[in-house]
Amino acid sequence: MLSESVWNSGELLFVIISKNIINMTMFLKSYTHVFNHTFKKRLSNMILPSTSFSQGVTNDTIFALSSGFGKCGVAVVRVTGPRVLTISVDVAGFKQVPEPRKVFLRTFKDPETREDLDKGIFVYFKEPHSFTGEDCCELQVHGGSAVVAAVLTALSRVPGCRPAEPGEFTRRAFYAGKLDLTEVEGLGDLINAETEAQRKQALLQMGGSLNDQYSSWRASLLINLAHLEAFIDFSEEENIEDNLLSDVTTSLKNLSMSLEKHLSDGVKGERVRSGVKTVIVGAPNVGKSSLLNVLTNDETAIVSPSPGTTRDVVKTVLDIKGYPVTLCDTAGLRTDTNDTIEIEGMSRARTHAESADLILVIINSVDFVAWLESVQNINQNKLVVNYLQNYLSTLGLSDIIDCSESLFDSLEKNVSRRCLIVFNKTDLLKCKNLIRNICEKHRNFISISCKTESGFSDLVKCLEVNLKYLCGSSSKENPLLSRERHRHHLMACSNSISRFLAMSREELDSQIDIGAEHIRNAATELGKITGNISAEDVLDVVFKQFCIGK
Amino acid sequence: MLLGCCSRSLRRYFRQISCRTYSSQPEYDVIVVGGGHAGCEACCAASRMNSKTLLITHKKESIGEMSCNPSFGGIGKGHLIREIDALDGVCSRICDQSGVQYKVLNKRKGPAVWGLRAQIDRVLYKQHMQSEILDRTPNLDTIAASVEDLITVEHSPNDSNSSSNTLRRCVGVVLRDGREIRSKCVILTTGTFLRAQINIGLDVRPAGRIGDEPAIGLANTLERLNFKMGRLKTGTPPRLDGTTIDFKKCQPMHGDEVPVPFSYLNDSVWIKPEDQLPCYMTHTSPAVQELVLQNLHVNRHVSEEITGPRYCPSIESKVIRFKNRSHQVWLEPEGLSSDVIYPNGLSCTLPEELQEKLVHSIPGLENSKLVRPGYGVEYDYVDPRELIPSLETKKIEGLFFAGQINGTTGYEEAAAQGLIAGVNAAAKAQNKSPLRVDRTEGYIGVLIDDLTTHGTNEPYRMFTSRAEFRLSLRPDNADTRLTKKGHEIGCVSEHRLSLTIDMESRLGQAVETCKSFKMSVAKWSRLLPSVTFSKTPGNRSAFEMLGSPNTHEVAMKMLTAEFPEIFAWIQEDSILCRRLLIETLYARNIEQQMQDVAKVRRDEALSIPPSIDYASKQLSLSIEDREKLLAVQPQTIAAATRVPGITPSAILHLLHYVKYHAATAKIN
Repeated sequence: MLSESVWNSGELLFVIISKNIINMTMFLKSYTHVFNHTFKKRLSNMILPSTSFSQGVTNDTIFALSSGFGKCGVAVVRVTGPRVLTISVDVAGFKQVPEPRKVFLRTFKDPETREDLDKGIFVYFKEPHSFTGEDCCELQVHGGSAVVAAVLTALSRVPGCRPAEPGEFTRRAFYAGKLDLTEVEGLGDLINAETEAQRKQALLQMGGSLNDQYSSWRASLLINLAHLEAFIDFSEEENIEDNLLSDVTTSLKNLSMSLEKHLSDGVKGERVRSGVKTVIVGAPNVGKSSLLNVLTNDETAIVSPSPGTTRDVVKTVLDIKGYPVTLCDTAGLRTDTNDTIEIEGMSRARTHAESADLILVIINSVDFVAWLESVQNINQNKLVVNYLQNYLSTLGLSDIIDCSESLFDSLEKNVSRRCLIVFNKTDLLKCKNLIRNICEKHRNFISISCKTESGFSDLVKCLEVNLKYLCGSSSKENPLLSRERHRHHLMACSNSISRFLAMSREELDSQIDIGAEHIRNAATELGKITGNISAEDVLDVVFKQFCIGK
Repeated sequence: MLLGCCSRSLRRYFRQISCRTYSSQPEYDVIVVGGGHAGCEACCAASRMNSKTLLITHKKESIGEMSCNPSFGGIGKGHLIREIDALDGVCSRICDQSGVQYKVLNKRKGPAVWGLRAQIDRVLYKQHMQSEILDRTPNLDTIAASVEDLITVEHSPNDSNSSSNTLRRCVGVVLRDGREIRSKCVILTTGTFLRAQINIGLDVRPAGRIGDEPAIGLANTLERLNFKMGRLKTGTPPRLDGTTIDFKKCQPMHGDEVPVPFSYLNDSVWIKPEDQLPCYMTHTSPAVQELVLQNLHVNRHVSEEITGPRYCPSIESKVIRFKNRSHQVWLEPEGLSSDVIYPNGLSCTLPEELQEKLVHSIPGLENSKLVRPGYGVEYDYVDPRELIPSLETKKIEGLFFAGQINGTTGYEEAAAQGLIAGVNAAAKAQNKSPLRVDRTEGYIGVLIDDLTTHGTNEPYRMFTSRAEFRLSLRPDNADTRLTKKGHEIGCVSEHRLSLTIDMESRLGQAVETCKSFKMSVAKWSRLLPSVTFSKTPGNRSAFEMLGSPNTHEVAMKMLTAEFPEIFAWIQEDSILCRRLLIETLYARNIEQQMQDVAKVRRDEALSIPPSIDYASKQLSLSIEDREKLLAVQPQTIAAATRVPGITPSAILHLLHYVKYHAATAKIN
């Protein structure tokens, strides 16, 4: 009854606002309010009959991938908390409260971009009949990491939702009195392993330099917090330098910049989330769209024997060996056309190539072999380079793809952009030996036939090696999640610092207590990655750096 | 009933008879040992709880003595006084009657960290406190005696609720003359007196305070009872004759034009603003450093290993740790009728003639006369992890500790603990459950939780940085945080409760009025041109508009002028208006903080039974976790999570245990 009425008010608001979005924050506030308010009511109803310790509902809604990481058929994302119904609207697109404990096939959408993420199963568990005793839901989606990453990102965009801390689901379940003796004993060790080991491992796996980075941020935040606290607790009567506040501001500005840089720099993490941007380029009619179609197993792009069929960029998301890939098919590149639409298409193709992580340069093997046979030269390597240079320059890509040695050896070298040379249409070759020899010499050279689909296992293998590099080495234990968690806390830390920096000099002068609160919050968030920053840590710095003497 | 009507002497007579006849029957509910700041609050609190209380102190004339600095309050400490007042404590009211200079510190740093502080007249303070205790507090007797020992008996738990693995119970005290006084509970507030010694130069003498003998017997008792003890040191500066100081060379520091009282019961303080005494500030010269460094060999106190406070260091340790700089010295008056000046910041333990030399090297003090030399005190304290948050000891039921004996420093810290121990000893005597203030409710909670979970290895002092919920634990709202709670247990008068309820409801109405008064952004900018705010279109409530610290007073006046029928009633009540404006400043941040508060409170509500056996197989704790938990013996899941280095797994096991325990308790 109650939840029904909650729903209606929520939905009504949603309809009004989505038609006329004037002030998103106001909307969120009121929406939140409605939900909080009524859920609290429900909460009190729930608590009364149960035992004293089952007061286990906090305001946050948490989510986590509860199936294993890596390529698997189905991935299960669990959500618990008061915003489950919000998620059923915003992500699963329900118009009314889904019936509990029933499976629904839904198309999951990103709540902000409204982009389709995946088709999957949605199950709603109404409190208290759920694992945690709270409202819960499960999203069962396809198991590729791209899909999972997209769903997790979408969930984190729902206000009031955040990734679960290690063991948090179990804690909530415990508070709700949902676990019995043996379950808790078993889970205890598991959770212990998850927290400390996971934290350390997460730091280790991300490399020593990152660990140092986090430690230096922690140290910087601690010192700034200590200075602010010293300013609050002692500056009235002690020798505390007047420029302390402006020093703190400067130092926090640097810290904030370094955090933001790191957050935007986390390209590898970002790739895992949004997919490795892979662009197919080549002359018209070399089989770019055919390649896309074979890789996606679908008629994603229109193919025809006439050149210039693909005008715009065709994008598709796919999973290659567990790695998320955004594959872009582009217009064939040539210089001798006056078709304005085609010219625009080509310019878009070049733009995409420019921002790509991985480029597949498609070459018609018939043309290549013919050229190779027409020129007699002993140094085959040089010939190949010459051909490629020439080819890329006719495509207008010379400045985007550096056709030097790095093209051949990029697997070993740390180049920002990777390039695969794909010789298509090998089915038309009378003799395939020449191409096969060249491809064996260069690991990033592959010969395929889209028509007969030969050579694709080599292509996928080669792609995998490159993707592995681009996404970073993944650990056995949920690297995606731990990164998501790190990112979440770093973002929150960075946001808190920004709130401090957004305070005007006047505000800081009159209410430094609020400024310090922001930095305390920042320290708490960073502490969730690096180990907490306690009041005693802060006081230690204060007494080391200031002579407090009354 | 009958006794209550009789005169004091008659009561005493009856008691003596009953003592002889039924010596095993307790004469008192609560005995408080020590008449310092903890002891005063403790005996008054127990009396307010209608418990028959006895205060035992060395000398009646030193009740309420301010042994060190002549001031009360400060940043963090002012918060504690306000909370003591909210629980109907006495020191706040007495400060309002005996201050000679009142000043709110941190005035420009936000009302959450304002520090109410007052320079106090020592003589007046003592007079008022003594008359409060000796004359005005019912249910309270006072004797001058020295307590040598505690009477403890094998404990036979008669109610199953009490902590079942306590072996002994404290049932009274033994005085030096051998007399035994029986009681249901005993509170020790012995300050720095436990096995105390005073150091001046190389001279060492046993004393708790200049002119007062130390408590050796009690220290032995505590050791015999197996309490974990430690040693701390502190110091006090020399006192100067004010008539010999050249104040012209010093910078005067004046009190506030409108002094703010400590007590919620008072609208103003006793002294006229213009009659307040000034303090003065001067600075040390390079000669001080030279003198200290050259004479370390004759300075026993400094060379010792025992921990002193880092924030209230002697001039010696300041000079050693921060070389080649000038240190501040505040010259504080000791009272209206006294010429003595307390040179705050000059605490030192050099031999007397060298102290004189040191003082003379400071500008303004060249010709000043030492009234009394500074000295250092070393004393025993009990590891406060021996206590549960009610301040009762874990080992001996019915025995409570409060004040410096628990490793704290400062009048306010002592008073706060005294009050809690007094209330809880009385509650214990009446079979009530204890008063518990947690970290989310007050600085008192922060103080007690820090002590009982982490212990301390230096004299513990309160800072606002210790309070994680600083923005909600403000000096302005201590009454709405604590008074009702205090009344429920019985330590707050009806009068105070009604004042608090009245203020709370008017404040609630004022907040509601401001929240429901809404206008468009355009109208607001016309009404309040001076206020800068985001011009995103939409309606703003008056509550939102008032939340800017620099302009809100003006804004409130403008609002009242424009809409007197709505706002005048708020503006007219200056205290209400000030409190409303403070609420507007923190509303947004506190909303965020409330989530964290809820988390902590939930964990606080899960109490770990004292009978818990950490070694039990059922708990299956790792050896490290077991040791950490055994050392602290946390009372609640929240306290357990704050045990340094504790693993989440251990918490989970504890959680389960708590749940299991609750379930079996229900069945039984």
